[in-house]
Amino acid sequence: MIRTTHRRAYALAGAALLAAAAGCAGNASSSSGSSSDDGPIVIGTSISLSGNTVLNQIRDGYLLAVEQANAKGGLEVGGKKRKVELKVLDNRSDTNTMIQQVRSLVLTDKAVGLLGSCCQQNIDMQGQADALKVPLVMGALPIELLPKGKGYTWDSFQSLADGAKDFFEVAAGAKTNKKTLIVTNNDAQGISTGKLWAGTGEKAGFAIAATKSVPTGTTDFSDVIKAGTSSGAQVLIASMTPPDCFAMWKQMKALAYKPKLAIGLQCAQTPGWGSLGKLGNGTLVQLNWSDTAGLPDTDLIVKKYGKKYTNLTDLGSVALGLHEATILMDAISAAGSTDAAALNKALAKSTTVSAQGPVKFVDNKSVSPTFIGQWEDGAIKQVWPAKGGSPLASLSGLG
Amino acid sequence: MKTPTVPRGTPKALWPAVALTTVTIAAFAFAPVLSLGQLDLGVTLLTYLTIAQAWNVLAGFSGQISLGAAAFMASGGYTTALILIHTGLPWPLALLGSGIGAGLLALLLAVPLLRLRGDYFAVGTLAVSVALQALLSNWNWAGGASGLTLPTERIPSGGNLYQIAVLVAALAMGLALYVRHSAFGLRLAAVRDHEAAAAGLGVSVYRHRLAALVPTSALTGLAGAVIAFQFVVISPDGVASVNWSLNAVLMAVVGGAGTVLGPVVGVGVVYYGLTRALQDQQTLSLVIEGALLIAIVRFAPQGAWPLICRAGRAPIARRRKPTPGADTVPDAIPRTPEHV
Repeated sequence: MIRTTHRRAYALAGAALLAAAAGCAGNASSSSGSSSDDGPIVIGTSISLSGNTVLNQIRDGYLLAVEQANAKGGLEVGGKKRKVELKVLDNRSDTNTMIQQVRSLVLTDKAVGLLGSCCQQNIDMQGQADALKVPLVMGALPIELLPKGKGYTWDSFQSLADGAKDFFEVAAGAKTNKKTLIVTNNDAQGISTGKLWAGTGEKAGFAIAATKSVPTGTTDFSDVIKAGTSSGAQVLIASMTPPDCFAMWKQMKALAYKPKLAIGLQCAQTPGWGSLGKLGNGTLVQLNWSDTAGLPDTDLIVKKYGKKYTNLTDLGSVALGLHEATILMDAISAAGSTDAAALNKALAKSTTVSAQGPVKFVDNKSVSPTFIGQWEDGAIKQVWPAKGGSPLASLSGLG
Repeated sequence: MKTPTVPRGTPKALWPAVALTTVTIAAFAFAPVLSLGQLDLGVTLLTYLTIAQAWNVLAGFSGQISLGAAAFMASGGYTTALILIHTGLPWPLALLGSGIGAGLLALLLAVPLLRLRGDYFAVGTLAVSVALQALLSNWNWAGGASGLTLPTERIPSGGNLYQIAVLVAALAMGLALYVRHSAFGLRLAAVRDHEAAAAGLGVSVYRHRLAALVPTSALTGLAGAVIAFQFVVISPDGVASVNWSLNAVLMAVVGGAGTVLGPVVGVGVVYYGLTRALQDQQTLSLVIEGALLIAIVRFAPQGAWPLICRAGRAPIARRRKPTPGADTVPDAIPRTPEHV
């Protein structure tokens, strides 16, 4: 009887597998709505909406752009207006999930274009865009960090060099000994940021007293803080993912390390910074958007999301999402086609003016403006450029 | 003392082998008619099946609970990438190199790891994974944290990649079948169930644990190479992620560790049924995954496949009502088909 059941089980399993395979084969010729001439144009994004990094604001910007386009009847492709369908997948901040989702968006959902996530994930996503030959429009990755790919990735964001230059101009106006401590994550973005900011700082007359790189997830910063205190660094540049940076600020307070000026790249740009309360006061932050800079669609963003998001970094992320999606959709309209090669050519010639200003790609990169802001009681005030901004306050949180 | 053996070439092993061969040939032959999306999904499912089955042989059949699958995935993926990028060798040799590389790594790691037992072994393998990921993040020749991009013009894709994934998964299934039906597997089970007693019967515990560790690691390395071909870009965050280890455990446990078809069911349920089907609802997917694991551990610790087998056997058992005086011993034997 056991043998009979063995055979039966294997026969059933084999038959099920064959039937599943046959079912798949039967579907081989079917296609998703986007590939038909009348269906919606599918745009896809695998974005981090849970886990270490939460980018709801960028997602909202994407949705706003699609809503605006569909309100006008959609995009004109092949002489017809077609609605846009944005397929958003949460990759849980996991690289493998992101890669599998991007492949699924392109190969199964027939997405004609992709929108980015953030930071290191964008670098990993570039490889998929190149391999699948599908245009990817991204922000949230400083343009210097975009690796040389095969031409399918388009980065419209601020420049690290501009941010560093602006920061050191702000720092030059503050009373410090110009000794600088640089702390970054040890990933590609962190290391490149550290080198670039160090070079810019030295040119601006600042001395790089110590440089430290730490893995993501570091909880003990005593070694870093010791380097700051022993070198007497009064200027701190930290480029880290959010939770790590929060821990470092708390430990700096506990160990009485009191720099006179500090900027939190990445980490202070997230809403979580507000949870530090007074400890976060005075920390500088690099902004990609400001509501006082006269950028396009500012009123639209503030009207739609001003209540949901109350600080500049969040609204800046909405602006970023709106900007990226607008670039991609404008390119689809300009190409008059959803063909990847035509779309890529249209992106190269993009003259879109959107939430982060005008776009002009050179080597697949387009620089958007940079602002320096300062945290004060859970809100951010623009301190650079001085026009439209507030005066620089002291780093009272760590003082 | 003579070690326990079972006769070779018994019909018990024949039918599963025939079924495996048939399914492999069928899956292989279907490649030309599948769409790119289906092929890509197939590669992912088959890769998960390979790592889940390799874990199953190591943990389910030989009792070595490992959290080190990620280390061997990374080893396989990076070996393939480095061979392709830094030498002019073709991809079949890179693929072969990935298996050999992962096997050699396992051989090297066996020296410290096989001194450990139970939870300590699991923690040891986890430490190896984390250390390897950190090493890769800081190893510039291997691309550092940014990783490596494989030369797309020299790697298999689409139908060819799917067929490679079929063969690699078939190897993993074949290994599980061999372990399930061979004298070697019986000795492994003895080591798993009572190491001291197995040693007392003359089974070399170290050799058998090593013999389970090395081929399963080589198989995981081959899966790493397949993923490298599929992803094209590999980085420490991706191919060396500890999530590979966790998924291997989850899939094998949900399907049924210590059974041949358990990982097949586990991959179907966990990846296709939850991760993929609920990819629009990631939070819900996570919650269901967690609840499912708790339910499996609490109510069906042997996994889903034994449950399915038992459910399938119930009608047969009802039809064959025991006649007075008939021998009912086979039904009472715990060595039931759910161990298939």
